[in-house]
Amino acid sequence: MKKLHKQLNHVRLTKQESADMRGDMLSYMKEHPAAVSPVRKSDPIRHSMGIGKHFPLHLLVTHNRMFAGIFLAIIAAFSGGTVFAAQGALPGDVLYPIKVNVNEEIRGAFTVNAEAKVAWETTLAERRSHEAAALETEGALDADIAADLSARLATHIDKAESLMAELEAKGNLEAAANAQSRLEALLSVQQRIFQSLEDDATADTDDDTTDDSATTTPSTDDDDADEDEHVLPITHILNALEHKADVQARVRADYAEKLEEKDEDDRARTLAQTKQVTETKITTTEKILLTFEEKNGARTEAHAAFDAAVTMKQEADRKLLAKEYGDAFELYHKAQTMLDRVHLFLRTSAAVGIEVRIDTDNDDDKNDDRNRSDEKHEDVNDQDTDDEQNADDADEKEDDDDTDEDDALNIEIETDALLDIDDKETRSESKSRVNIGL
Amino acid sequence: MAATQEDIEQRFMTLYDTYQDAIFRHCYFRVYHREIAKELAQEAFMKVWDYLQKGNTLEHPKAFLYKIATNTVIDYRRRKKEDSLEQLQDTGFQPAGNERIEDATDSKMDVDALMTVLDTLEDIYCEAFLLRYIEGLKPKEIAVMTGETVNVISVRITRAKRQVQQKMKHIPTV
Repeated sequence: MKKLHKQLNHVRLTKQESADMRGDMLSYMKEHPAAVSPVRKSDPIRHSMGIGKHFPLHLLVTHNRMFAGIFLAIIAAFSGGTVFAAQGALPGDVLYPIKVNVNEEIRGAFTVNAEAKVAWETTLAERRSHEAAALETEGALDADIAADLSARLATHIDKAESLMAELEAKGNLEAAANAQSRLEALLSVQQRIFQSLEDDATADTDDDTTDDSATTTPSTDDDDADEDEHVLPITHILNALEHKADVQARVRADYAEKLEEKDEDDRARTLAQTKQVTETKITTTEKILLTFEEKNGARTEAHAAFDAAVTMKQEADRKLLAKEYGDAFELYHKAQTMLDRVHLFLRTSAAVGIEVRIDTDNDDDKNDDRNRSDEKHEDVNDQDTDDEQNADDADEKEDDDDTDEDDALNIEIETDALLDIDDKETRSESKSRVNIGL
Repeated sequence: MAATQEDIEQRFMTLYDTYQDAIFRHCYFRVYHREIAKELAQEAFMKVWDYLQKGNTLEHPKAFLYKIATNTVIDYRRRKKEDSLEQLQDTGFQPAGNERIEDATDSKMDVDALMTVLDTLEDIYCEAFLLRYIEGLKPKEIAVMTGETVNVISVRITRAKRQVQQKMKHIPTV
């Protein structure tokens, strides 16, 4: 049976056939474009969803996402539109608890499998990061809020990492690697944003100290001790992200090695999927980038990063032809990470009110801009200790009732109020320049 | 928030790129004709697009896609009144130039015989066998796709395999 299976596996479309069919499909789609306002009816495949941990509405949730919209509408009707008004809330706002404890819980309850869950946790990590950055630029990020946000951020990152490990353990290397690309992009971009914000905050603190020095009385030992213990609120956020991006870069390399352990057919299938996902991501990113540049009337710096991703993908193609599968896999995912960073660049520019710049330094090299002035920050030689801890965390499997493990494609949970530019612009007029290395 | 047109197109094309070959094979091993299999596979994807294009969403895209493909093949067979078992035994199936199985005569005979036998099975057993042993799907995945329980699928696979093995013994070898 195995021999027959192998033989029958060779029944495949040729490249030309595949390309011709793809072209025909695209033509068909152009003639029958998608409706922009979906009716939101779900497919008729029945499946029991093993959810219910987060919110009692699991009783209402059976097969489809339609109930999410209905439930939110019901709550909105009784709450006078509160749930929708809460979407753009920041920590400290009256509606923020509605946003995180109601809206996000409802949305999260409809993630049925590990892939959707990891995408949702990454989205939540991005939201918490944006909230922290927005508050910091307003000068409204205090120690309590920062501690709360950093704890939430760390939780979402840890959950995402656990879910990735779960996907990998189930043999779904491609899904795990896709999730890893997005998480790595988020961590590296956000780390740089917060590093820059911390540097600005440190500079402001130093200026204040200098200004006050002429009028303050000489400090005692107790005063010095208090000053040593003072940690900027933004530092809490930065600590939650520290080394995580580096860890993810190593996870990416690990996945490439794991690919080599698969049999030839599995490896070929995984690489074919990876290549196609990368190509689709390039096409989508190019569209979004061109639209953004058309709106702003200028080519953005992100375009250089996009070009670099395309070059990386071409190099991956060459590696694939040369049967250097591990290298090809890693390069495809590096390209995907870079494309995710371009997306983040565009979203952050719109959402947070921070003017961002992109440079094309390879983020895998140590970046000299990570200049930590705080004496408590760990030396890069301590990364090994962190790696072990992170590896242990990643080994913890989240207890999951979900029985659906077949989907390679999931509808990504969309972000919403993060792109509400008007609200963010009225909140803050101050801007700081941040380098996002790529 | 409602998905944009670009979002829907992107997700669909990712689904298409991921499963184009798999759906072609799924159709091929039901109709044993390359060009027809390509048309049926394409028709299945168009139906899925039509479903999405009207504003519906997919919670289980892969399962839905396989289901549509299966139904498309069934509709084709009913429309075309498929050839009899004797005709299939005479003509065999037509592998394309890139298939290695035509290089090994014995292997080709085995595959021919297998295809002949599969065509004599009830649809539910043929489907279970193909999905398990040709597509390499796990019983759990097949259960989601068909809406049956894992136990039912496991029983069908076992029975299908037993039937195939028994019938293969009776096919004369040359």
